[in-house]
Amino acid sequence: MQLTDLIDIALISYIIFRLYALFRGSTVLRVLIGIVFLWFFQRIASSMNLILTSWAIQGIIAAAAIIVIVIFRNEIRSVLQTKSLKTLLWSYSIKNTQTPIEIISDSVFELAKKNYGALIVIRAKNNLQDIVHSGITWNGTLSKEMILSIFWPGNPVHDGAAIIQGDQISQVGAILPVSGQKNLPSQYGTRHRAALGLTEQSDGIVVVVSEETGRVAIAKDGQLNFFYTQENFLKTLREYLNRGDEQRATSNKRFRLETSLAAIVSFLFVTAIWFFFARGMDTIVNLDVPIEYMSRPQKMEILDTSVNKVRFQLSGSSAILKSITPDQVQVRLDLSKGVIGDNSFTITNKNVSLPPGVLLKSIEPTVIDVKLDEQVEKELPVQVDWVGKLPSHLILTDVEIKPEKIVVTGGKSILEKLSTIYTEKVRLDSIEKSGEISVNLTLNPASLKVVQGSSENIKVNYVVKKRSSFPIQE
Amino acid sequence: MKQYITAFKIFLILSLFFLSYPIKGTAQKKATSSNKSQVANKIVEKLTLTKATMCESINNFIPENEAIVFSVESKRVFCFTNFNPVPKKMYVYHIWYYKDQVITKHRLSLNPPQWSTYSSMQLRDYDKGPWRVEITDENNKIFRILRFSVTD
Repeated sequence: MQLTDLIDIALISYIIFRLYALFRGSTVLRVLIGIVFLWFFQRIASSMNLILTSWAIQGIIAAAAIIVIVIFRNEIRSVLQTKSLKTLLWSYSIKNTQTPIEIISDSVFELAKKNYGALIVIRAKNNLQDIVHSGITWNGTLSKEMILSIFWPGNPVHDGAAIIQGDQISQVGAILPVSGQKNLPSQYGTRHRAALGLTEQSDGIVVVVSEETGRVAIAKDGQLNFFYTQENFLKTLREYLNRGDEQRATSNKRFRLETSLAAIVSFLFVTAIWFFFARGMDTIVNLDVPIEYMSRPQKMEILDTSVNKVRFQLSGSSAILKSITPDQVQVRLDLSKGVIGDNSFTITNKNVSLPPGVLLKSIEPTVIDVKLDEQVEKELPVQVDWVGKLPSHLILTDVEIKPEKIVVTGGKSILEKLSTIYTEKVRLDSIEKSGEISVNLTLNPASLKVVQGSSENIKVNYVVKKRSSFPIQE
Repeated sequence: MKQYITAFKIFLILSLFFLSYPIKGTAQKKATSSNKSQVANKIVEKLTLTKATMCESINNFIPENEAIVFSVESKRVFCFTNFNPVPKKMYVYHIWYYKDQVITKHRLSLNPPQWSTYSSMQLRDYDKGPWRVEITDENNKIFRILRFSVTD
């Protein structure tokens, strides 16, 4: 393993970790993880020659990738539209989530402002099943909005108590036992007596909000304490529940642990993939690559070459070598310094481009001979290339060609040998009388070109007559 | 005697007079003939091709079934040429090309004052394709090019 490989692994690990950090908590991450698992299954199916399974999973991955972009476009947009590059590359925010105690505190005082009566039981260790009756199972995540909606006067369950366990509202509309104490102040309403009743029979804590006065109280161990400020309420609740700031500290700690774990997992994952690709560096394949000729001097044509392709011997991991596509391996020869006549060009590493992770072991041949020719123009007469057979009673006596001559451009040594340019083959079988047809020229070799302004389309006017006599067969 | 001498002198003078007339006429005739031949020479010194055609056969030096496409079934194709005038005994060439390659070259003699001549070629299956015949003089001056095709 070299330094470049370590940098490679570190960069990809960081990218994967950043994806986790940016999309943490959203469904995007879950879907991406699902796609990664699908990719692994596809590799396994492919190695086991399960063609149909591999093909099907490939299709699903391709479709899933598009679906992810379409469905999660808002999440992706919000990430990409971050104001600073620092946020994209480095932000590491610890979520400032409220603890359950803080949620209860905010909710209770909000209810108190509105004079909505509320009875909230915070369960401790004792089971309340035998004490509480007629509760409706809720199992909702604790939130301020949830509490406010439960104790909204129009809600059918607002008269009962809400039981909170951890960060969940486990039951609503529960009936609490009324206190057995006989000398309670007269201003205590049903809610207060119910709160005291529960705390006399269990170690739970009950928060009461009076509907009449809007006063907030906490009941514990058969005692009721009233609070006029949220700070005192919060402080007392924390003391009763022995949770304090530990909850927040625990939450932050958990977040850091989770993030560190994500970083380690992405590093290990990328390292595993690197070994998967990097192993088997001694796999060798032969590949025939066509030669690309570049920067041909103006007014010169390539007349001939000794070879049209070269054979590469490549080494690398089998996974990379199998996935090579023709456009990834190229050999280019620069003809800018070529002269008219024979030229020899040696292929070096500078002429070759390969995908990363692939090494070139040998090239065959290393020297390419290229014959360059001067490009000239020549006027040539046109002749029709007739094929097939006329009906035996007819003869083709005359033909008029327009234009009679064409100017072509091409290599000097080719045009020196040419005296005529022929049309495409014109069939005689369907000809029964004189007429006119349009035909194209046949440029052979294909490097010949008709000069601009000249047309490759030829008009042929032919004359057909009846045969006067049949030739004597020898 | 004197009468005979006088008669003889008159006869001699008359004889000389009549004898001198043909000499003058001959000289004029010769002079006219030589002028005429000089003029004639100037007119006829250029060999001229009057007819050139490809045909399927030749009958009494008349080309039959002149065409530009010939079937291999006709077995033979002819190139007929007529020159008028032919100033002197000379030679022309019929050069046969198949797709720009020289296949055969016929040297044909011409005799004055006018002359028809022809060359021919046997046709085989592998001769199908475009042909041409170039009619040239001894200095490779091309009189005409005849283009034709051999087909099925």
